[in-house]
Amino acid sequence: MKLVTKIFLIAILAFVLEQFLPWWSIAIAAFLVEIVMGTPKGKAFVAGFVGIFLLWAIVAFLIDNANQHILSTKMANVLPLGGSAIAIILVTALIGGLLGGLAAASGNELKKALAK
Amino acid sequence: MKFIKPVLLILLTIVLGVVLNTKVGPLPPVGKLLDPFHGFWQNADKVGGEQDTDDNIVGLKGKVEVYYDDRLVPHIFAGNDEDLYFMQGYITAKHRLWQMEFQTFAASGRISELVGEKGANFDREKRRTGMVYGAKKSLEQINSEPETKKILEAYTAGVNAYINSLSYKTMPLEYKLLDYKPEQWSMLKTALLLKYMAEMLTNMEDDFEITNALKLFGKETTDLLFPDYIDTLQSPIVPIGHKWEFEAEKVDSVPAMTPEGLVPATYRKLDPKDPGTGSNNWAVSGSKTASGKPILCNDPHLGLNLPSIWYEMQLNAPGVNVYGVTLPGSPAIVIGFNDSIAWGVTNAGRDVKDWYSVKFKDESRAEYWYNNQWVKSTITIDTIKVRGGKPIYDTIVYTHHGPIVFDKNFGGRFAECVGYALSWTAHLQSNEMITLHRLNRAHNFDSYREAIKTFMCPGQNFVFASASGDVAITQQGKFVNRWPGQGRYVMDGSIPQTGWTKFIPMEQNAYTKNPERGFVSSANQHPTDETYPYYYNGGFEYYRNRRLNEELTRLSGITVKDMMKLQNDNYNMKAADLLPLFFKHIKRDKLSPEEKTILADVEQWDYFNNPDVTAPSVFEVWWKGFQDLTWDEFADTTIMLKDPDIFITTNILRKNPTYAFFDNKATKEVETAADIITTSFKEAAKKVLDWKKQHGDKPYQWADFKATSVQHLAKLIPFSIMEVRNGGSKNVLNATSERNGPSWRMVVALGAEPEAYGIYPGGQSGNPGSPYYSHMIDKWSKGEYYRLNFYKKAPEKTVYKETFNPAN
Repeated sequence: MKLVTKIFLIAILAFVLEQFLPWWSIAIAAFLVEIVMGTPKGKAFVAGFVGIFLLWAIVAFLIDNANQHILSTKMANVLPLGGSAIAIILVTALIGGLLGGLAAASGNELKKALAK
Repeated sequence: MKFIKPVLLILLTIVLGVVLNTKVGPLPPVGKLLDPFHGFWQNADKVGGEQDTDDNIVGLKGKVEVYYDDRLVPHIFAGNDEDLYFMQGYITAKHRLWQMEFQTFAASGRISELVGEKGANFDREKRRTGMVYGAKKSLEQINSEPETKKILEAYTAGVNAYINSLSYKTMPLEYKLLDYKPEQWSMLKTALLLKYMAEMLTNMEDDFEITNALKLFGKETTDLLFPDYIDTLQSPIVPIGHKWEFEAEKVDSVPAMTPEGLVPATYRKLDPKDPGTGSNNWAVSGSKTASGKPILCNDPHLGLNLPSIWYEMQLNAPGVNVYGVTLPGSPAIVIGFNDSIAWGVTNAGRDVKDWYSVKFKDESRAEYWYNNQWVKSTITIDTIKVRGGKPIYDTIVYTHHGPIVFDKNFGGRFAECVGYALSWTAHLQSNEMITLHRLNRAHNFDSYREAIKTFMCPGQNFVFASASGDVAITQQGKFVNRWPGQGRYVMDGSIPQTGWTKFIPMEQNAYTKNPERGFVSSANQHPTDETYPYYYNGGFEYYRNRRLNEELTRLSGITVKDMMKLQNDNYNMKAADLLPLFFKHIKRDKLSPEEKTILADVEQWDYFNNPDVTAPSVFEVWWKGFQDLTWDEFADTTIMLKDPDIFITTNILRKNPTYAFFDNKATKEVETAADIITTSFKEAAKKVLDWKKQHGDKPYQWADFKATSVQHLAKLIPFSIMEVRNGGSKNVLNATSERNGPSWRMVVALGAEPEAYGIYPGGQSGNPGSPYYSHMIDKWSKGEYYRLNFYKKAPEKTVYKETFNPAN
């Protein structure tokens, strides 16, 4: 349950921060949530990765749908992804997820070190 | 020790964040770009998401309303001229900012700032040809006239109001991909953009090439192969037999003095002129139309790019209500109509660039020889910033002729103390903007003539029609009053008489009003016959004008539909001239059965370059091969040379099929035209069969073989539309070649209310993520049109409306 809550909170906080700050604020969101809620066996990387992955995937998916795939299919040729809208949504989510995961793991490890 | 792990992880996170936030080689900043909240996803416009908006903007005097129709054409309704042009700038930037700025970077030689060192030669050429120098001269003129100063200040303020409203999130996609930011717009940038057009349209000089031909082949051959005028098969803009009612002003003539020897070595044009640039325009009088009122048509042929070179607009303010296409970055409508008149342009093609050889006193190049004495030059050092590299410094020497473009540092292997200076009418003070501003407001023949008289460069054929029934065409520009042969060759720059002394008075430029034949027209051909009292030269077209004038002469009771059909006419006059001669001479006994089948296909062809027939593909390769084999003597790559026009080759073939140039120097035998017609046919047959093999046995239909594409300005293929199926060709009225074509087709029937149609191969939005980015291309390729919404007053219902009020 705790993992699901963290994922949810990371996604929400990242969503809020992205309204005011540049894209890398997703790392702050994942980091902060782990600092506050992290537990030693809390699968921090998974929380950060999944939280940002889902947020970015859903937002990109909604935009893409409203745009009828006009831009995603073009951008999936600028980046070598064979013109697939799904592929560029997944790569988007993956990149975001990776940073989110690392930031969350950092937060978790820092909390552990401080607690020792 | 316990902090090692978290510190390492934090560092790793930061490093990843920084890497994903940075452009790495050709790769854009990936994380920043992919972020759905700020990155490229924010450029993916919602389809059908248009809605009314209200904004307050600093700089407006009063309320402005912008109504968008179903093709995203803005109709701007303002209370005064300043607000009108302010809003034109703002709205154009909103839809086309990246393109506007990119084109001014190109014009001023700043491409290296975006793409790195590979842009250096391009940039140096732009700077050395004096693009910025010319733009600054024009800006002086614009600033000295209160009317244009006001217009351009308002336009610039509008563009900047939009630029200042941007954040990374709302920036055009190309900035995100190439990772840079828009600069502030300036009046100089608009002046630069007009020079960019001038440069594109004034390449009709071959001074270096013709000088070398003269040295290699002598005067008689050069005059035969590169004549200033040919008296066969001509249909000039002002009809043959026109009586000129003025005395030409005299200029002192000197023998055409060229520098000694061949123009040295390896100068190769860095940016070769586009063979597909040209245009058609015409107007038919009421005597020839079904309605009894004139119809005006125009289709400029330019590079097929996205975002399109044109942006469509209606501009309405007290005293003006005009519709047409604009050049993003420049105020007013360039080609269009109002409720009284319509106008359009084609390129004049006159030679307005002259080259002078200049001899310097010593290596410092501080002085040069002129009129039997040493004269001081002006030396400047240009700094070209290079992305990811050290700046390049280029020394540019200015003489009274103009800047030295080619010298020991640039363009080839030139001697230490020699340079080639360029005199170009685009370097003179001029104000083309005021012409457009006034044309937009013109209401009859007199106001049209008054408006165009300040238009200097590039020389244009301004066609005109009025609701009151007049049609006219004027070849307008600032043209040098030349002695015969002046400007045809590279000239000795030390002799005063080779320089420019006088210009042809504007009112003596060739024009015709309401000619007896009931129409006026131009298609880049000679403006006049040989009786025009001034000498001129240039690059002229020999095919479209004849087809156009034949059809216009034949037609009567003309409707808008007839005119659309004519703009899309695929008749290939070049094939009609050349193929009967090819058929007469070809040695059939040398052909294989397969080749005979291909020849039979071409023999049955009706000379229409329609998309689904195969014969034009064969013809295209055949005549080019024939041309190459004929002029193999001109293939020397170590000096500047050019092949004579195919029209000249055709004339020679008609009169003298054993002419010495038909011999192929690479073979022992002495060939005649018949031999090389046969050889080039066999090569053409092989080429089309190879094409077929490479394309999975697909028949080599013209549209597929030609493969027209409309390409993104930064050559990003995913943002381009490849393989647009269309007929036509260069030298065909439907002048759609591989990369050039009718960039705006317009038909305006004048009357109590103008009835206008238009289309261009692109879309109103410059954003590749918009449904309006390229949506008109399909319809354009089929030769279809949109009815243009010309509102007399603010419309009640449009797709959406943007309202702007002055902010405090």
